[in-house]
Amino acid sequence: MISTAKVNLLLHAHLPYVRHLEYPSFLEEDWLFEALHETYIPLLRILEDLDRSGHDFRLSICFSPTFTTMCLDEPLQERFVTYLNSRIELGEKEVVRAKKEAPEVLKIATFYLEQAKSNLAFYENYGRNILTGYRKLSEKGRVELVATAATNAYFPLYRNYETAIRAQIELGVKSHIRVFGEAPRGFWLPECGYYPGVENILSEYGIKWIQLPSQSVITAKNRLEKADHAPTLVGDSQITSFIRDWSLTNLVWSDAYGYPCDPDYREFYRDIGYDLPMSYIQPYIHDDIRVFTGYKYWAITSQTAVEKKVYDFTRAEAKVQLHAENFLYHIRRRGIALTSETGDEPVYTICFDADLFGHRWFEGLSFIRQILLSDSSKTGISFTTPSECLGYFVPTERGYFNECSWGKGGFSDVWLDGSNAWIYRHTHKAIERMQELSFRFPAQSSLKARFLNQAAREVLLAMASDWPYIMYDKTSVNYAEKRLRNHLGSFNVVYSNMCKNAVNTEWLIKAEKRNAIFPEIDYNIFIPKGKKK
Amino acid sequence: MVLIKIDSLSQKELEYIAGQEGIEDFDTLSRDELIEVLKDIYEDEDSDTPNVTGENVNKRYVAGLSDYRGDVDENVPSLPGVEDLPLLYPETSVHILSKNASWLYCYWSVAPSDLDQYDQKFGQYELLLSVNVTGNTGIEKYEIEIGREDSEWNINVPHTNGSVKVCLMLRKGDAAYLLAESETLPLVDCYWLNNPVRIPADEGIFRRFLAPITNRDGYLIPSEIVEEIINNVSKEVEKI
Repeated sequence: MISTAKVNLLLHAHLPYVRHLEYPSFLEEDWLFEALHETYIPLLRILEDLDRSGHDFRLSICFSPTFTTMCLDEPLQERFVTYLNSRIELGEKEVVRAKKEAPEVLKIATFYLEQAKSNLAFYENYGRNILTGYRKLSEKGRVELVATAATNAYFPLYRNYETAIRAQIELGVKSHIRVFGEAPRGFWLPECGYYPGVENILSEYGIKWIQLPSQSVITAKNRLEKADHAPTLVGDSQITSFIRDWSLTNLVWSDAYGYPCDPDYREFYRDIGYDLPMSYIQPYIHDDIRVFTGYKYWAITSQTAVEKKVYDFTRAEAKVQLHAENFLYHIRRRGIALTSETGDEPVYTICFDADLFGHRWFEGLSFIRQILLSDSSKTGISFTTPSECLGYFVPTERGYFNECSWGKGGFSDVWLDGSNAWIYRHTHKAIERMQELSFRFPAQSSLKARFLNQAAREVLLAMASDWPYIMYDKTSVNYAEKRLRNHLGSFNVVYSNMCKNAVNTEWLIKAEKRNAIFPEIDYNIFIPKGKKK
Repeated sequence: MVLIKIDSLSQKELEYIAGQEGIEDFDTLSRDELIEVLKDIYEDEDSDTPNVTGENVNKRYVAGLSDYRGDVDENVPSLPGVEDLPLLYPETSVHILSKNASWLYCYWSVAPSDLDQYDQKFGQYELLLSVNVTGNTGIEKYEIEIGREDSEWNINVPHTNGSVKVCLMLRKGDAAYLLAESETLPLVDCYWLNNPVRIPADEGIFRRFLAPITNRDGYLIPSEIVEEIINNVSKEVEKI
């Protein structure tokens, strides 16, 4: 079959920095453990299997610095092993219980038990650092690893604070180099948040491409002709944009109509953490707060069904096959229509949060495997990476894009609504004060430098887009607000001490222990350009 | 709040969430009664029903069926010396942020010491925001009267090739005094909004640009500006 489309499948692997060693266990740390257990370890195994079988696949993954920092943090690694052991213990109990009381769930309970055991062995085999596995796949050219902002800051709402944008980009790039040993060519704009001019800063850090949201083409300032299907230069820079295709993404992403809503797929929200007696489940939840354990035995059945059907692997796998074929069909159909109209072979870019696959959509990793396994000679579809595209495609069209994002409405409404607008008064003030401190106390060494570096860390952590997003999404609002206030309050401790030219050493040691991130940070990045002494 | 459709939860799940919410005798209520009670509690929050594309229900960072986490204040203690954030900072300044193509979010503060000075100097006076839009057709200005206790406002702006700046002003009689001015922000300016389909070839390009933002069921990506562009272009196409 003739080639009908090239596809960049781009996954964003991110979590906010959550690390509370002051407690024996902490509920929100489970975000990391569940993601590793259900997405990133199984994904790596699938990619390694494909690689071993000689399948020439392509995939792009952006690992955020907060995520990689947590992956490489020894205490969190230890806690993850504890988490897996706890899942194994629960699984062993569940298999016994299922044999006696619920034989219909024995198969899936056994699956979860075996998955926890094999993930633990895999994790230990990797010396608890699975990022090296992804790095090896990158070195082989199978995977393109993409950099992103230090703490996933949403850039458009900080566009007037160039030092903070630079700090986010510089630390993102440095962190990528430290973890993966290579300079990144691509940079994932957090939340696809773009504002005109950010491309010029990214260029200074050697970035060659970014991704932009779907509507950026139809809402561009200038008349574009090919940007819907071809890489396009951004503004007057040499940075190329790859536009996220919402139509193709929506086949999966839509929680109302996407593939993951299929009745035969596993129900994410029905979990034994809520179903079984407290006396039985208490060791595997958080104190007395019921939460998900990962042991979920039921199929979606229907969106409103109270009585759920037992999950059936065979039925679900058949649906995965169907959905993968349907997905490829939609790409092919779009490609053929476009080629007949323009004569061009389109390049489509499809972006997702990585933990949709495996974690939220249980069958999602199997779906990825299926589409990566597809035979391009039969489908006419080649999976590629943005950097590979740039090797054979020279973009000529220039897009002058407006500010935009992939959030609802296409602008900043998600991160700037009634629930979260209050934060910017404080984060902006912290940035202004950080600039002031950097200008007043440049090139410090020893304790003062550490104190100022910690202040910079706190500012960057406060800028994370996750906090306003959680407030908007109403999921863990109290936690998000508390974290934000803690980071800004901690920054203010440094600010008030430095205004008295003092360093609170005891506080500094505690703060460094609590937020042990960005070892390469240099607060001088906050000195405004043209103001360096 | 409950993070999933209440109607799909089991009796056990509903009872547990009701217990968290402090509903007495939750274990004596029927399923329908539990749903009714919980819907009352979450009435406002759950008004955000899934839209046709369903993207607003695909939630990140979900650890359970509800957002209940016990006492977070106790669980996430601040480091020693960390104080509560002030409501406002003691400075006179004004800032603007783009919320979307049509709205700015504006926040400001007036330093208490400045307010004292103004009170002494002017006695009675008005505070206002002066919105300055610079576009192709020149400068457009309009004013918004604000109260002393106000500190934020959403401001409507046009879609034009230009920029906007907001000034915090004091008005006494016919005289106006500048207290602070914001940064300048560019306004959203779209080619297809200003030039809806002039030549037949444009129609083909425009139709192609719709493909990536239309899902398989024919729904468009949720975006007001995209809707506005499409309405404008449709009208022009009808004329052709």
